This record gives sequence, structure tokens and C-alpha cells, in this order.
Amino acid sequence: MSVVKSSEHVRLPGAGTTNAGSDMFGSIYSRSTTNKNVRVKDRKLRANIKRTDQKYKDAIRAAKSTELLLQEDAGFLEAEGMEKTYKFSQTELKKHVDVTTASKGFELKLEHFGPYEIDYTRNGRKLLLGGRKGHVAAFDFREGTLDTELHINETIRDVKYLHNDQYFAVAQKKYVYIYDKSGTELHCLKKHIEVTNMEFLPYHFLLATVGNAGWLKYQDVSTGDQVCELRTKMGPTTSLAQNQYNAIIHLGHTNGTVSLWAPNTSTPLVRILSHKGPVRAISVDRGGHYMATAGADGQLKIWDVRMYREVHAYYTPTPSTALDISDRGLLAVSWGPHVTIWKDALRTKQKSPYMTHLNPGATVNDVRFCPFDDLLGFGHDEGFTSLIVPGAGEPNFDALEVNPYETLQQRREGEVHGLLNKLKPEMIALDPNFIGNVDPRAPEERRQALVLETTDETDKKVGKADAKLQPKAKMRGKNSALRKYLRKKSKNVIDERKLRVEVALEREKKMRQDNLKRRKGLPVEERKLGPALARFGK
Amino acid sequence: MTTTNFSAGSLGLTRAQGTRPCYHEIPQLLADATESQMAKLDKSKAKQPDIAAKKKLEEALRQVEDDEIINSDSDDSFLADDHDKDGGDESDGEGSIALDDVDKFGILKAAGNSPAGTEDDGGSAYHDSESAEDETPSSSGTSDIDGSAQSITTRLSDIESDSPSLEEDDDNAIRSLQKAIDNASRKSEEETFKIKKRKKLGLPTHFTPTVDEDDGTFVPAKKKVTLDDIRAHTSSSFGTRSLARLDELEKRSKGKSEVVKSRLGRRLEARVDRAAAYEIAKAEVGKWEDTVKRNREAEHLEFPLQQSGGVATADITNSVDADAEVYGEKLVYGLEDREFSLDEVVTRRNELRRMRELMFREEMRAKRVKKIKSKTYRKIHKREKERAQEIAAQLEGEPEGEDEEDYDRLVKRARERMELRHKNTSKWARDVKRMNLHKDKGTREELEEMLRRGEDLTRKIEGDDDEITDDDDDDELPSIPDMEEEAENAKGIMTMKFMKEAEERLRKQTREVFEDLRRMEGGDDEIEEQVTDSAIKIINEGRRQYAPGGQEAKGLAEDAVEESNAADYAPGPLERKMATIVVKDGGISSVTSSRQKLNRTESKKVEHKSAEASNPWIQDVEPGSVAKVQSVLSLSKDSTRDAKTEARLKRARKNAEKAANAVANGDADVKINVNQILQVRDVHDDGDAGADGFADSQVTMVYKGGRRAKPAEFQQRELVKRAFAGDDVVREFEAEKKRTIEDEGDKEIDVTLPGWGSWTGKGVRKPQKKFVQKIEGISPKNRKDSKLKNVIINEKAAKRSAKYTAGTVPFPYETREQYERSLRMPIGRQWATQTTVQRLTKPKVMVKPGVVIEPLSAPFAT
Repeated sequence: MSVVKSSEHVRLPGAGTTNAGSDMFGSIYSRSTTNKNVRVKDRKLRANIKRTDQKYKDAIRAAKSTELLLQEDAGFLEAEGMEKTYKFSQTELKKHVDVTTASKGFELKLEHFGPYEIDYTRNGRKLLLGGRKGHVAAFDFREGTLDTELHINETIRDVKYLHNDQYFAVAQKKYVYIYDKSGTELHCLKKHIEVTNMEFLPYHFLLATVGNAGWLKYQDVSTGDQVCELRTKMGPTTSLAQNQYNAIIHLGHTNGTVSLWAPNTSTPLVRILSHKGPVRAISVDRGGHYMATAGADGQLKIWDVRMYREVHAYYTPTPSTALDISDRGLLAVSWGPHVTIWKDALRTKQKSPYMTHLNPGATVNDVRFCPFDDLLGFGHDEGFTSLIVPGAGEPNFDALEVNPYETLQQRREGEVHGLLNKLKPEMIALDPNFIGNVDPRAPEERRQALVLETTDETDKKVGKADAKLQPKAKMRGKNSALRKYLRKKSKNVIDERKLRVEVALEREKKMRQDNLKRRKGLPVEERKLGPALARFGK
Repeated sequence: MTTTNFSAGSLGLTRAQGTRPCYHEIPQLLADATESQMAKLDKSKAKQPDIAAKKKLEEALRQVEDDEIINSDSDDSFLADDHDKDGGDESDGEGSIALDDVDKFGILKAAGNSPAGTEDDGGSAYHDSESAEDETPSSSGTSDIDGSAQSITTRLSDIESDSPSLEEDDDNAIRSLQKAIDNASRKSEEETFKIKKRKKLGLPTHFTPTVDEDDGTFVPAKKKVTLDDIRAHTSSSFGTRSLARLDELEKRSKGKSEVVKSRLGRRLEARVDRAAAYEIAKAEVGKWEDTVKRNREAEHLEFPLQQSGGVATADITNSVDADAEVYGEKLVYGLEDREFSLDEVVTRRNELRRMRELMFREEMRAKRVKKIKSKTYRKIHKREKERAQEIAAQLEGEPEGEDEEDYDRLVKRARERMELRHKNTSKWARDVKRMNLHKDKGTREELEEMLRRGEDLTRKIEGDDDEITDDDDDDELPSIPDMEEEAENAKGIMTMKFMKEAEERLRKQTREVFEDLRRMEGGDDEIEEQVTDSAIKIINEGRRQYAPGGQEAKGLAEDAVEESNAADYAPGPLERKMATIVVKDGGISSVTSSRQKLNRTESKKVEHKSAEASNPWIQDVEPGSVAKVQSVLSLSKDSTRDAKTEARLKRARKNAEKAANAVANGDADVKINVNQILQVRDVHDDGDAGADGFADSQVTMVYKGGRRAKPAEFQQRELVKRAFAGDDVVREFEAEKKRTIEDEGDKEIDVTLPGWGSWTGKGVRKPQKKFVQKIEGISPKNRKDSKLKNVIINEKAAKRSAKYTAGTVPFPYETREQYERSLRMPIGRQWATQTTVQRLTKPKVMVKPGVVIEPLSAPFAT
């Protein structure tokens, strides 16, 4: 008989107590690895540093003390005796969990428009479905209320919620479109062509898209500007994921490499040869420590993203199609009609999965863990299924950050705050704490870089404006060198050259008039002598 | 109050072409001058005693006495005033004699009878030579003058005793002396009046060098010769009557005057005052120090501050309480005696606290100072300390020459004198020697004088030593052979012919004198007694030791010096010194000889060694290396088949080893084994996984049920096949990596101008120089991905935005680490608790609106 250790934890964020205790203290709250005492000569500075250190320690202590307030605890499935957790089926589980939780394990049969891409909002309240054949649906799956349902008679390759449930982007046949909650098409991003994968960077308000052409494009959704287009030069991109820790975009390519990108560099920061076939799926854990990649070669590899070292590899019988790592570190892998969930598979190599699920007859297309809930949603050929995965979601939430229970007012406040605290695209780097640090470059090199950075931006802004505002000189043919000369010459100066020019102009004028007359068929006073000898006549 | 003024009139003449006299030299010069003058007088009077001169002198003395009486009667208050300013030792200095006026004709000019004149002179001398005096001990002048005074008194006694033998031309001298005395008395009267005026104005009147109005010479009058001095240095030959008079004078003066402390100089006083004022001001300002410091260091200030220094309030109240506890008993005890008001108690407590605080601070300071190791600091502070001691001594008005300090000072002075350039090593002396100027009489005299002075100065120290060591030998005369021996040892200028001649002359004369003295010694016991007496009295005065025979002998000896122009006349100590040197020389030579021996043996050894080294048959080579050589040789020459094969085998073995090593290191040129590259490696238990092979090392995503399981072999083949599907990928990636390394690595650009320096034609060489510009990049070894096989890290792309970084480490921080460490803590609400955020964002200064901010008040109400 299978047992769920604590039934509460299957509820929305609020279940069980966290064991984010002593072992997490170091990783969560402390900011620096070097805490050694540096010998400081200056007394004042020494005192200052000491004081700062003390403050730092106090802050850590205070932060740690707030753990008392984290009432909820996470729990996992526990097997008794001969039982194996991966043998428990959803139906069995549902019998042992509370009704609310059981109601969250559901299946949507959408046979005509599949396979489906799915996305959850950041707070895990809303679900967005995008069927390949043009079906888009946004709804609150707990309440069962539909926000919008669209039939865009076009291929849909990906769907993505933006900063909240009010907007979502859909990668359609050719362009990316942005819709609002009610399904109104707001924008068509014509520069994002044939997009296959999308990611949204919530702190930077950037929508990152990549498509068959292999261009990574960043679109600032708050201003509407396209931040940059980066050419990957590696053909069609097969997968995309973001590192939530440092907002670096991970791209999977057909040549088996995974490349790491930031908007301000035209070349990838890092390239990792992960697979021998195309990289089908990528996922990075919340802390930015581990990356899981799945390739067409049937491998599933875990990488340490900080060291760029392969930690360990698993094997899937058929190539995996989708991957996701939950907030609590569960790894969901879909291969064929199967969904396998691995517990602690990142740090240590596991022999057996935590849970398995077979979706007979339908290949799984996309897998997502629902934030702050013990749910795993996956879109497949025949619709959408939500699985109950005990211990998947973060039980405690920070309402100032992402609030699953936010009110309308809070959502609005959060949006404004988010926009005010928006980070610049240039702040994206492998080490997100670089801001304010001392530049290791030589002063001259740094100065050049600074000039380059500033001119780039000003060019972009000012150049465009100039192009629009500056009037063009459209009066043609009215000017001549002689006229110009006369115009420039001061009026009261009469010299030989001026006289000559005046004569020449006069002659030109006469010639024009003659020409006009000739054209009109009027009689023209013909000269007997040519221009060279004319002065001798008369 | 009587003063006898002498002036060294001849000074200007004698020093004119020589070295310029310094201030502290002047007394000495003066003394010398007087001596020389007196010597002349002496010589002449030796033949004919002049009664008239004696009479005149006596008359003068009487006059002096009378004047003194008058002055002392009339100027009682003034006297006291004067003494206030003079040194304590001069308190009994009525009738002291300042040696001021021996005019250029070498005549005793005035037995001046005005104390005022002397005072005036002294005062002015002080003012002008203040700077000089700061450096030299004040006693230097005194003893010089003492010396000269002594010599003069000697002459006086001579005059008295031998007055009948004075020559006729000395009549003129006496007459002029009389005149001078009259002049001096008149002048001194005028000056007395002046001084009185000056006193009223409050101007300092002592210790100023004056320029004699008559002849424009410097008149140093820092210290006056006291009666005691005179009495001490008088020999039996001096008139007993005049001595008696002096005694009388002293008695009278002692009855009247008191020992009054002298005042310091104006500047000195001002300095001391300033120092004291500074201390007070510092203490006053220092009251706020703690408060200010605390406020400065405070992380947060809230205005208006609490009374007595903001944050400090709590601390202070605490300390007050503690104090109350500590001193509680004392206070209670005090209260028992009489009733204190609350204010009194508070003030007393404050006082106590302050004292304690001061003591504590002093203690801390002392501790700190004690730790200081700087030599310069010590030097400076030592000087300061000395100065302070000096000031203290002056303030206390201790009579000089009584303390140990005095002795120290004498020693110092002596040392200083040792450094004077009274040797013929000076540039001037050398020039004289070089340019044969010594043929000129004046120059020669000067040179000799200089040398003699040098001798005198050094001898003074020796005399001191003598006094301490052998007092008994004082009355013994040096033997003539000793002198002769010394003459033989003479060096430098003494080796010159004229000097030798002079010496010869001197020796002859000395011998005569010597004979005379012998006779006198044998005959007159009285003299001897007096001599010994004098010797006892002058214990502190090294100058008395010119000739161990006492005053007369000394005088005679000096006469001889004067006549013969010789610089040295063989004193005992010098000779002894020489002897010791000789002894030492002997010692040294013996030592050197022994050392030489040693050296010789050593050198022998060295030679032996070198011989060994040069011996081709004995090579200093290590056995191992020899063996090596041998083996090589054997292989090449003794080419037996076995050896050859053995060598070949060895080589083969070595190659094999090398290859193995290369394989192990991955150096070997082996084709890329894709299997190896993509082999799945289990980090956690790689032992099993690595060995067991591909399929076993991997955990499939399938739950392997028994029914579904296929034969392992088949499965593996399938898997491997699938795994190798995109084989090219690996090669491509490696090529890519190589390209990146090249791109980011060092680059060489050929910047040679095409056609530049290239010519055509027969026999034209190709231009050899290539202009290559090297752009430094990242070397393959330093790359972050140098050890990561499947990773390319773009070093250039990893640049961070310059906009969001600091160009340099900002001011208060010294290093990058310090600065970045201060940044690590985020302040925002997202990362910190509410209280933390509030604390971190609290402004440094907060002012309560609408409140008057009072200035800081002193923490201690004193």
C-alpha cells in the first residue's frame, strides 16, 4: 500500500514544513564565499569594514530567523516494505489525497488540435495551452474558469505567459503575437520569424525567441523595443531554456551543443558539447546550479552549469522530448508516451525514478511543473494532463516576489514594482553579482568599451530620430556654381571675376530662353557667328 | 662694588689675517692676549723692579675699594635688582673683576670702579650672542675668563713683588693706565645712569655683548671673575695686603646680599610661557576630544544630541556611577570631617576623576612611548629632555660647578674643544706650509699660537685627569731628558728647520729656568707650601695644570714659550701617552706577526689545495658522474656485441616506457576515440560505472520489468549504434574549439608595407626584415576551458558591461576585495527582513524638525 507521508503538502503552497534548514543556510542567505579577515591598515576603514561585516552577519541571522514563519512543509511519497514509489499510479494516489488536490489531477481531451504546448504563470495560478493546429486556451485550472479560448487558424509552435496572466505570447506560423487575457491580439512581432521556442525573463521584461533560422532575439515587452538579434550560426535551434539565477539563455542546437547567451554579446558565452544528436530539451534548476539536457541520441545529461562539467548521464530508451526541473529539484523527463519523474537526480545518480506515468497512445510534447504546487502538467498529442507529484512544488512563497493568492490590487502593484525595478539587458552576465564590482580590465580598454557602449545606445536612439526629423533638400536644378558664387560673394564687391560670372549667367539665361522659344516654335534670333567669335561682331 | 676692566686691545691686530674668532673663542683670545702682554711686562720688570708702578697699582686698588663702598651704599636696591639677573654664583660677586680693557698698547687701562659698566657689558653680550650660547654651555666663557683673570692676577703679583725693576718706558704705560682708570670711572658712572633708566623700562640689561666704543673690539662679559677666584689663584707672591682687603670686601658684601634666582632670557621665558599656555589650551580643548571622536565614529547621529555628547550619554553616566562607587568611601570620609555642599562634592569628584584620567593617559602615553623604537625619535626627545633639564636648572638657580651635571658639561665642552681645528691640518695651515708663508713672522706667530692653543685645550683635559690620578706629583718638575725625547718625536710642522731651531732655543732656556727652579725648590719651603695650597684649591680648574711645578714654574714656562715661539714644551702626560703608544705598538706588532703566521699557514694550505686542483690526475669529480662517463666510454670503445645488444635493449625499453607514459598523459598521437570522449562517467561511483561498460553504467529511464528485458548484448549494440549517430559532431566541435583558441590567442599581424625595400635586379637580396605586430590574447593554457574537454568558454565575450562596473577601487577601500565585500549584502526588501532594511537604510544624520540644535557642551564641568 502506498502512502503519502503528509496529505497537506499536496495542497497549494501551503503544505508541510520546509526542511530548508541548516544545510541551506549557507547557500541561501550568505552572499560571499570569502569571509576571511583581511588585514586593513587604515583604522577608520577597519572599523567600517568590521561594522559592515557585523551588519551582514546580523542580516543573515535575521533572515534565518524568519524561517520560523515558513509554516509549510514539503513531503514526498514514501514506500513501505516491498513497495516502490514509481509503481504508484495516479488513480491510486488520488484515493489517498484530499479532494482539492485530487481535483487538480485532471486530464483534458483535446484530440483535434494537438500536440499541445503548455505554460504556467509565474505564480502557478493560470495555465496556457497552445495546440499545434491553432488552439489557444488560457484558464485558471483550479477554479475551472476560462480566460480565453482562441482558434487561430495557424500553426502554433509555442506559447508563453509574460510577466503576469494578463498577457501571453504565441509563436505562430510566421510571427510571434501577443494577446491579452481576453484573447485580443495586441501585437504582432514581425521581426520574430518562424519562432519555435520562447522564454520570458521576468526581471528584465524580455521575451527571448529563437526559431528555425537560428536567430536569438530579445524583445523588451515593456517598451516594445527589440533589444538585440543574435545570430547563432548553428542552424535551427531545437530547444530553449533560461537560467533563472542569472537570466542566461540556454539554446540547444542540432549539432548537439548547448550554447549560453546574454543579450550584450554577439557570440555565445559558453558552448557545451552535450550530445551527439540534436539537443531536444534543456532545463536549468532554480538555483542555477544544474542543467539537464536531453538529446536525440537518447542521452540525458546533468551538467554543473557553474563548472561546465558533466555530473552524470542517464539514458532514455527513446529520445526525450521534454524536460523540466521543479522548484524543489524534481526532474521530469518525457520520452514517447512516458513521463518519468526523478528525485534528487541532479546531485546524485539515481538508480530508479521517483514516479512514472504512462500516457498511452499519445506522445508527450511538453512538460511543466506547476509553481508552488505539487503538480506536473504535460501537453501531449491528445490534450493536456495534470499529474499529482507530491513534493514537487515550493510550499512556501514570498508574497512580495510571486504571490499565488494575489488580489487584483496586488497584481497591479506588483506589475508597477516590477517595471520600476526592471533590470537592463546589459546586466545579464554569467555572474549576476558583477554589478558595482571593480572592472578587471585595463583603464584604456575599459574606456574604449565604455565609449562603445554609450555610442551604441545613443546611435540607436538619436540616429533614428535624426533620420525622421531632418528635412531633405528637394529643390533640384535651381542652383548652379555661378549662382552660388554670386550668392556667396558680397554684394558691394565688384571685381573682374564677378563681372565675368555675371556675363556668363546672362548668356546662360539667353540660351535657355532661346531653347524655350525653339521648343515652342517661336523665331529665335540667330547669331551669325559662333560664341567664340561673337565678341568681334557688333 | 668694584670692577676691574681689561680689554684685549691687541686682539684685532693679532687675529687680523688669521682665522676669524668665534664668540666662544673670544675669552680665550682675550686671555691669550693678556698673557702675552703681561709676559712682556714681566720680562722687562724682571730686570728692574719699578716701585712707581707698584705704587700706582696700589693706588688704583685703593680707589677701587673706595668706589665700591660708595656704590654699594648708594645703590642698594639696584644691587639687588642686578643680582636677581645674574647667576647665583655671582651673588657674592661684588668687587668682581671683569676682564675688559687691556688696550692695544698692552697697558692696564682701568681699574674701573663702576659695577654698572660691567653689568651693562654683560647684558649686551648676552643678547647678541644668544644663539651661540644656546649651543655652548654657559660656563665656557666663565672659566676662560677665570683663566685670564688668574693670569692677570699673577702678573699683578709680579708687578707688586718686582715693581722696583720696572723699566722707564713702563712709566708711560702707568700714566696711560691712570688715564684709562679715570676715563673708565667716568664712563661707568654714565652707564650706571643709563642702566637705571633701562631698568625702569624693563629692558633686560644683562648678557649683551657690547662693542667697545673706544676701539671697536668685542667685549665678552658673560661671567665675571669673583673674588673667590682671585683668591684661589693667587700665589704667595701676591701681596697679602690686597688679599686682606679682598676678604674685607667679601665680608661686607656677604652681609648685604642674598641669593636671588636669576631670570631667564626674554625669549626663553616666552618659550616656557608659550609651552605652558599651550598645555593649558590643549587640556581645555581636549575636553571635547572624546565627545567629538565618539560622534565622528558614530554610525548614526540624531539631532538634537543628548546632553554631553549624543551617543556617549549612557557611557558617561555609567562611568559616573562607577566613579561614585569607587570614590564613595573617600567622599564619605571627607564628609565626616566637615559638611560639603553638593557642588563641592561634584567638583571634587570631577577633579579626582580628572586626575585619574590624566594619570591613566600619562601611563598609556608612557607605555606607547616606551614601545617606540625609532632612533630619530629618541634622539629628538633626548635633546628635548636635556633642554628641559637645562631650563629647570636655570629656574632653580643652582650654582654652577657643584653638580655632577657641571662635570658633564665640562666634559662636553672639552670634547667640543677637541674638535676645534687647532691643528696644522686646517686649510689655512696647510696653505701656510705650502706657500712658505711661515717665513713671514706674523703668519708664523699666528700659526704657532694656533698650535699652542690646540695643545692647551687638549692638555686641559689631561690636566684634569692628572689631578684625579696623581695629585702628589704636581710639584715635581719634568725632567729635561723627557722634553728632549718629546722633541725627537715631533711631527708635522715641528720637523721644519726653523721650528727645530726654535725648539733648540727653547730647550736651552728651559734648562736654565729649570736650573733656577731647582734652586728655588731646594731653598724656599714657603713657596712650596703655597704651591700645594693652591693646587688643593683649584681642584675643578684644569687650567692650573700648565706646569706641575705650580704658578711660578708655569709662568716661567710660558715665558719661555713666548720667547722661543715654540708650541710644545714637553709636559709629563704627553710623554706618558707616547710611551703607552709605543707599548701598544709593540703589542699590535706582535699581534700582527702572529696573525701573519696564521695567514701564512692558511696560504700554505691554499697553495696545497691549488696544487691539488691543478694536478690533472686528481680530479674532484663525484664518483657517480665518473661512472657515467665510463659507461659511455665503454659503450663507444669497447664495442663488444653483448654490450651493444644490451644498450639496444635498454633503448627499446626506454622507448616503450616513454610511449606508455605518453599514452598515460594523453600526449601520444592517437586518433580520437569517440567512445572515450562520450563515455558516460559516473562521478559518484566511477569505479563501477567506468569498468562495467556502456549500458551497465547507465540507468535507463525505463523501469526494467522482467518481461520487457531484452538480451543485454543486443541492447548494448543498439545503444552504441545510436550513440554514434552524430559522430561528426565531436570532430566539428573540436575544430571549433581550436579555432576559438586561435582567435582568442596571441596574434601576429604582418605589417610590412608591400614593396617597401624590395628591389628588382641582379644580385638583389630579399628584404629580410618583416614587421610583425603582436597582439596579445589569451594563451591556451590560461583558458578557463583548458581542462574541459567538451566546453568552449568564450573569453572575449565574457566581458562585463563597463557601465555597471567601477573603474577603480573607491576611496576608503584599499583593495578590491574589501570593496567588493562591502557590496555583497543586498539592502532591498526582497533579500532582507524589514528591520534589517530599516537599519541598513537609516541615514547617518537625522535632525528632528523644528528643534534648536545647541552646540556641544563640555563633558566635564570644571
